[in-house]
Amino acid sequence: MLLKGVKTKSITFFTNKKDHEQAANDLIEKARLRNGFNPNLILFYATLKYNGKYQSMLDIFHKEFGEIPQIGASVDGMIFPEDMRTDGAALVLCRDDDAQISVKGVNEKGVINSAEKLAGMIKCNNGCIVLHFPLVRVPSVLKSAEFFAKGYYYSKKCRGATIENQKEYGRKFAQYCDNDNIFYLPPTILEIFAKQTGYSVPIIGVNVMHTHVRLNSPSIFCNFKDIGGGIAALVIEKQDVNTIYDDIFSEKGKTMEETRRNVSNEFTIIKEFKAIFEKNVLISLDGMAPVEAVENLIYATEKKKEDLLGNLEKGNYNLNTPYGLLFFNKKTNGVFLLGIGSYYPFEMFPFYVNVSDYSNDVVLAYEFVEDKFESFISGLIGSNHNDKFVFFFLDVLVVAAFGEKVFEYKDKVKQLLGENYFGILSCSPSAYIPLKYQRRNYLSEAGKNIFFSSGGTNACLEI
Amino acid sequence: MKINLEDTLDQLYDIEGIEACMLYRIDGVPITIRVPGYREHLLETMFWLEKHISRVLGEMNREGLKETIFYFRNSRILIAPSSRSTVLVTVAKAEANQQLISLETLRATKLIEICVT
Repeated sequence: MLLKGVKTKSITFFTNKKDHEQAANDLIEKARLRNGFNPNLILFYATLKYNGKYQSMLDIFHKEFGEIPQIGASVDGMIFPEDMRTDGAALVLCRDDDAQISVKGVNEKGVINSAEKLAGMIKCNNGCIVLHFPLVRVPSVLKSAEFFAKGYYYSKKCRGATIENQKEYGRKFAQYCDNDNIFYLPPTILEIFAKQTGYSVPIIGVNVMHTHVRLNSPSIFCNFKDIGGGIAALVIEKQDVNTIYDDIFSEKGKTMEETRRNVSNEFTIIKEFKAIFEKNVLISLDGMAPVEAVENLIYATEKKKEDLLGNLEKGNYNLNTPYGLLFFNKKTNGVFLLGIGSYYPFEMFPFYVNVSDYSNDVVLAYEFVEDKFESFISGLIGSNHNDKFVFFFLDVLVVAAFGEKVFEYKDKVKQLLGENYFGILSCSPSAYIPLKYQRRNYLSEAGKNIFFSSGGTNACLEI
Repeated sequence: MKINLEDTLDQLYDIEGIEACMLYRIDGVPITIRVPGYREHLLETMFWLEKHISRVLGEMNREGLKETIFYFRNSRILIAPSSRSTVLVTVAKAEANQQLISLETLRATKLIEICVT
């Protein structure tokens, strides 16, 4: 039987030692001073400095803690009661005597296939699910070269082809990206899990990707295993878990026209385009290759394949862009914001949402966010946390948008949450939120009660 | 106080992509440094900093800048005043994540400010 009102307790330990084994042992030494606090959930998040070394760190933790559910990922930073760091590793020990906690993960061929398999393994009637998966998984150098070659091939085939044929090539490229676990589609994955759980519990999608991507990253951790580009699910069965999702945008309209009006008030519109796309592959904008169509408007420069592979190897491949394409959903009247820049050496533009339900009329826009500093943590504001453990997910774009000002989050969060919290800095989170948990008509609705955007979203759990 | 200062420098030096970090007096005298042993380009950088740091700080002060970044060969040199009498210099590799390193450097300056005047 699950009791009401008992809160999860947590202790966070942090290290940023250069050597991965020293770092893991440093965390263990600190954790041994925890005065009889026996965890029944372990969170482990680390930045890219330990890329490729995560498994040996997890082995050390496994040896120390034994068979306790564990989840985590490689992220860009973390916020905890003592500090806010963008380099290092954090180990969070959690204990909740009245929650049934389990972690399950899979790493199968094909993203959708993996999601379906994992969803079939999960049961949750009360509480919530927190999924961890990459938003984009950068594979090995060989696989990356293959991805570029496929991109070149299908882009070349599209030149001069009929729209039907272009869509066929787009569909094949999208299929390849799914089969080879490159692009993960948060709304599609969330829908699979929501359906499996009877649309009854909230599901948060922790979309993991780094601001500077590199080969074989990001990584997902599940029960002390680095499952690379797999999907992991933390299932918390407990009656009074509160799940909050919010974004920095205004509300969607009742009709698409109203949404378009809201968007034109909020964003600075640069240009409108007629787009051709198939699933999660953008084929053209006004008949031109997507980046070619926008490059003179957003100062994107062409990238060479050789440079890309070199930069991916060194981890010098920056994904930040202030510009976005706005897609308007014909079913939900929501908007999907896609950051666009010169990321690929080929013409097609694959990304991480299936936009089949979206209008072909897309808009290139940007938004000033200077006055939205607090909106990025809006999920933490306006709720009485009541000493519960707050696990939150913050959009790493805040670093590009606000620079050193982000340190103010450290104090603000502490003021709001006290001592029992842990937050990660990674890509914008996604969420399936049943109607009763929704605070307003979020603009970022990408499917029925499913929310996602390339930037500007935040989510938290109060356990 | 000394432990905190040294610890802050150690933690900064442990960050991925950081080649060296040095705490200078504002007149260019080094107080404490973290370097990976002998490196010709780092020595050149340090000589240059000793000579010019007070002038750079004067310019930064005039322009109201909290930090300045120079590019020198394959390194980025990030200069950030850490108190009224000290300045923190971080040398990062070209491919390092500048945004995240800049955040960590500014975090270190805040901690140093607590330790020294």
